[in-house]
Amino acid sequence: MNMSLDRLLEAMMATLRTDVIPHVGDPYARGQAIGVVDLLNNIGARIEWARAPIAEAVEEKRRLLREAGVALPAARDEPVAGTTADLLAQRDQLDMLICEKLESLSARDDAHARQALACLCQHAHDELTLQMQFVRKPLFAEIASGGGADRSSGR
Amino acid sequence: MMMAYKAQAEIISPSAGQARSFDPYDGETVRERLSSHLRREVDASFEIGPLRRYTVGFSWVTYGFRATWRENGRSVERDLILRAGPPRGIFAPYRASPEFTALGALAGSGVPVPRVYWFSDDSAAIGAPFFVCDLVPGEAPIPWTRDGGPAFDDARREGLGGQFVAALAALHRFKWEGTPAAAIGGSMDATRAAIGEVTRWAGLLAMGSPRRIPMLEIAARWLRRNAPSARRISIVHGDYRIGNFLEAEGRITAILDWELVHLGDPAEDVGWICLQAWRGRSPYMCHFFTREELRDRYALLSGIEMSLADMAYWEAFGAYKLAVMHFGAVHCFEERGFDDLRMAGMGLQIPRVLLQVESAMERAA
Repeated sequence: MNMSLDRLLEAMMATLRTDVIPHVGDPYARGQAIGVVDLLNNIGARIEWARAPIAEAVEEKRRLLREAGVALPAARDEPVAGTTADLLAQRDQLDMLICEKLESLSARDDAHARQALACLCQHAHDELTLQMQFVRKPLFAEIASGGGADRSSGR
Repeated sequence: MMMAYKAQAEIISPSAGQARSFDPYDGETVRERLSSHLRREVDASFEIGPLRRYTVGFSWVTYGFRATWRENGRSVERDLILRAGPPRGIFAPYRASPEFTALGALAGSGVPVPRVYWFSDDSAAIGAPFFVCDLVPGEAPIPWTRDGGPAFDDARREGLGGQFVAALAALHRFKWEGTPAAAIGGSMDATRAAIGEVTRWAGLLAMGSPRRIPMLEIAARWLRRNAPSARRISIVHGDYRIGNFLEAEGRITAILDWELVHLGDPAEDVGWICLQAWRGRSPYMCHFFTREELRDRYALLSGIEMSLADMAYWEAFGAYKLAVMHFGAVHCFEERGFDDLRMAGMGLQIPRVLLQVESAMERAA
């Protein structure tokens, strides 16, 4: 999942400014929190999502669709290029084509369709498995308890 | 009891007028607006103390406060809870009436629920649909432990687990026909309950994400093809799990967070309990039971026999629903300016959740 980096940075700064800093009592800690806002504000224009994994995903989806006999729009058959935003848009369009193919194959009941369907399902699994290398264990326990014990107070 | 809550509910009818925005972090403004609304609609002397916001809940916002008012000529002072459905929340726009109605109907049943007082589906009053209920003492054990291990020792697992399944059985046995709960929505057709829920959540996904997600389309197709008929139609909580009940001194004092309540197949709640997300590395569903224990205890208390295959189907549906919730969280964060960073955090966990959909589906196949 690639959310907009601009939006992520904006929300992090807003949360610090509105919900965190006003409640930080220690001046040094408050200054450090403002320092984080300053950093976030400055790195936005210099970073983007890692391009290589997205380009690889686009390439893999194209290969899969070609093997499944889906004619790609001309622009989708050229070497993978463009900005990260372009690649994300291409990925979404290719996912749409994969979903359309899934739909048409599901309506059939022959061996070829079952095999092609299995390839598309395997792709969905493999892609998610690859993405898991970037996913860290969530801190839900601490978030839900406000950083305290493993339980929330009564209501 | 039922008449009493109905009469109170009717006091606050949706009012016309342009709704002002709702800022969940601006507790003082929420307090002022709720005060003036309740002074107008309930009692001119209504007084509300400072609001304190709870950290729990990913969609509705929960505040606690102390209130005083006059009722039947007598002064009343109580600790209350305000639950508000933010206009920019995960599946907004929300309605408070299904939750309010279900809680009102269940008062006095074997399901521990807080007493409800007032509600509005209209955003004009405080900027969001809301209801007010009693504050119930207790703490909510949560499914996520720091080390991923068990949430309870064996004694608490046994004690709380027994109450947890007993309350669910009481909910599913509850005779809703002829009560206001018949109007909470959902499916009254046992042959269509599962399909109806799949369609509903697929619709919510489409509403929140223009992207088509292959794994979710595979899952939706499988869920439609394998949809079982319900053995009966019950009130379904919709989010029945560890984290959504309060416990005080070993007793479950209230079942909370009824915002997804609807009529449907009771197996939906049982399957939801079995989600990987509610147990971490614990072998016990919701840190309480093995699947077999859950099935047997539930059958004994509810009289509803359920196969492991039924449970597995509804677990797969639950995994699908949870994945849709994650996409909904991303949508409200990215497109509707909801700054709660937990929403973005959910977005980053989507690959994990989608793989859980796949494994739940494989287990059920």
